[in-house]
Amino acid sequence: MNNFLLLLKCDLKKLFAPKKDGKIGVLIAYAILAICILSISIAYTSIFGLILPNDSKHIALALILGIYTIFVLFTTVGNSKILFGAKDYDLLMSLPIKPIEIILSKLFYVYLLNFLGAFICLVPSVITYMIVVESGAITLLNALIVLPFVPLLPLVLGLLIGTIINVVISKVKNKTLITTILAALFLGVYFYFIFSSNYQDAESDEQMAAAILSIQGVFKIFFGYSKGITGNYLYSFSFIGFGLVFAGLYLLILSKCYKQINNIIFSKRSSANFKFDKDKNKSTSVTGALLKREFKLFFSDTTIIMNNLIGPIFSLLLAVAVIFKGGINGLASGLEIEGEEIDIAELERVFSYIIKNLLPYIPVLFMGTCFYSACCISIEGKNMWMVKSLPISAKSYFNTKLLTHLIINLPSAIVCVLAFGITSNAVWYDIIIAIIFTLSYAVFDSILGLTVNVRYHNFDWATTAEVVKRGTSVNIIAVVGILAIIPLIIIQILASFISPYLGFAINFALISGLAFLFYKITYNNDDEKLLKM
Amino acid sequence: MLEIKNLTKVYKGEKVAVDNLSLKVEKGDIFAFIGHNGAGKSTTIKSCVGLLDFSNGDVLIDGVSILKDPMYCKSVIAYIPDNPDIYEYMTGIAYLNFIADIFKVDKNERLALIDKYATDFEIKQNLGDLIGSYSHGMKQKIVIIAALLHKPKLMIMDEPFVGLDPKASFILKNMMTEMCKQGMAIFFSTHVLEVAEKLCNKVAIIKDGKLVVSGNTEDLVKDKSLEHVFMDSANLNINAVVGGEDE
Repeated sequence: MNNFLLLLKCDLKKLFAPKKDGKIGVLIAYAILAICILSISIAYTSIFGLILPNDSKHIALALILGIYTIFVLFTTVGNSKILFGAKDYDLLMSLPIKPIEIILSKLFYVYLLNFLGAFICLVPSVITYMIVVESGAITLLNALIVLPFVPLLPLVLGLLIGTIINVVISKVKNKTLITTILAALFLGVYFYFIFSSNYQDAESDEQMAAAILSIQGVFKIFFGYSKGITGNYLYSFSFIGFGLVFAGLYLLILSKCYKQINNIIFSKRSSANFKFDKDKNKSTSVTGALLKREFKLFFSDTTIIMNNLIGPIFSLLLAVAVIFKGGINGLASGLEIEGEEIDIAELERVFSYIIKNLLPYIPVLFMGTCFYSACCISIEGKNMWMVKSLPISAKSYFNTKLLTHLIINLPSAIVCVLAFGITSNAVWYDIIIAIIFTLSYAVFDSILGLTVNVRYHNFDWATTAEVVKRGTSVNIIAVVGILAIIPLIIIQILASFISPYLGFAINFALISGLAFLFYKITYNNDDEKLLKM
Repeated sequence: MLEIKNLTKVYKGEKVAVDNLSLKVEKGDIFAFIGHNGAGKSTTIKSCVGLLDFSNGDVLIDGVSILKDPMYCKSVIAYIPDNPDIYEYMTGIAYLNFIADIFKVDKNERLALIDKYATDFEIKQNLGDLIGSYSHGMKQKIVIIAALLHKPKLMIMDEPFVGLDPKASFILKNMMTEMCKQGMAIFFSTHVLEVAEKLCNKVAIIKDGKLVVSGNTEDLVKDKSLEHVFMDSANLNINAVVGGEDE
């Protein structure tokens, strides 16, 4: 057990070690991010708590847990390299340490990170719930008892999916394609359940929540959590028991095949059958070569893909859903619940206001979840020497990074605007304005990310997760992304009392001005900045 | 071709890694840069290729300062690092094409060169595999081939023979000799003193960031060996060390 603690200490030291990409900035970014998550959790629980009928307000907790679980699930899939294909695998396996101790330390490390997330996300939600339903402190006590078991299920599930993806892609040459297909497939299946759920058939709020959470079986687990902390201990025990059994089984299986799985992942695939075909060999321009390389880099790692493609994929799926549901009003009528009095006309009026005044802000919300430009320099890692030693100007290098971010983000955002605009019969010039605004926000977003990453870069990482998920620049952009959108929407709503176009004009000027400012900051003495990285 | 003028590099205002170092590599030179671990060889090399900024002095490549026109300097040199950390997510051929694209090497010319060098280094069959699946030596071979594609005027190499199999080492040594006969200049660091002695016409020894010995190999070695020269420069009497062991 000593070895377990030593290994865990090593991992934790790495996490809390002073980073090269910023010292105090890291702590501030983490603190602000925690405050943001905390605020969102409180807001979310309050809204759902107020909407739902009194006897089922606990569904708000089930919902927040569901969202938290999905978040953990996705991030753990990308983070599975902590356990498999880790860079310290050879070193650790050569030492007199039992594999089970290595597995336990790695699992516990990931668990601790997720536990911290669960604490920040769920405790304020439970406190909000207590205030909304005026329940006693026992609710919080119950929640705290269940809390340590909350990360178990998504963690194990995420690692399981991550393992499968890692094993599959280690066997094929085109990791890019397979990873993307698997990730998209996973998201697709999830959303299929969401949009195929029949909200109209829901006879009670519990069924509605089940429909929202889409997979009834999985929902029951979340439901157990929320029922449990509101006093039904049988549910609590089932929730804890399920998590423990699942984690225990996983640990048991893993201890038997940890070495084999790593051997599969580490075994080098070398076909040595290259045929030199002169016709297939194409030359390209410097920009083309850099862009091609950038996309190879983007698609080279599951973590990079999972963390940056979620927003665009969500945006696209929303667009598809809007088209298939017959526009935003179709979505509104879909929310009709038997036995509940919902004013569809009022909902339609609200949605028509959104289309007229806030259309471009819909994809902008998804854009904020793509942090590629905020980590695009850091992900070069130990290969950075190449960029610096080749005759590539900093301007072309930075431009390629920006262009890649835009290519990843923009098409889905424009499709989303078009889908909402056209299906809701918006006027053509409103759609054009919305597209221009979306474009300007995308440029602002990408330049802001790049500016922060130029300032806070880190090439000294062991796994991409360190810079893609936990990097200072990504944390800063996550916070700024959330905070930036709020004043824009407030300006838009206030200006819309005069004219929505005034709001768009003010925000467009604001965003473009800031984008220009950040561009100047980043591109001023750019070659020198690149050299000093 | 390469002129290092009073180069000084201080890390974080404390450690002087390179102290007022000056040397000159002419066209046709094969110049060995020797020193103990941590002497400042890699820092000097990285400063020459534009990877590191330096505190004082200048580096001229083909008469042009790397500080004033880094793009030109980088376009005429080829750099081979001590550790071939290259894009593991690319196949060998994709990587070579990428480098050729950056240096704007003509399609037909690059094909001929890739074909020739890949055959020489016996890596042609593996060009379609991901670099991540390569061994250290194979990565080193790919880096060397990539470095030769744009026919550089100056090659700067940091421990180029590490990881290479005997045949590849032999080929590289022959290539270096051949290229220098054609007017190219080569500046490289090495710990293999026998190679430096046999291959290089000029040698420089660096100790604690300062240049302690520099000149023509023949003039420096005379009737001794380069190993003796190095040990003398390191203030160690090799005879005493050997004698001590015998006793």
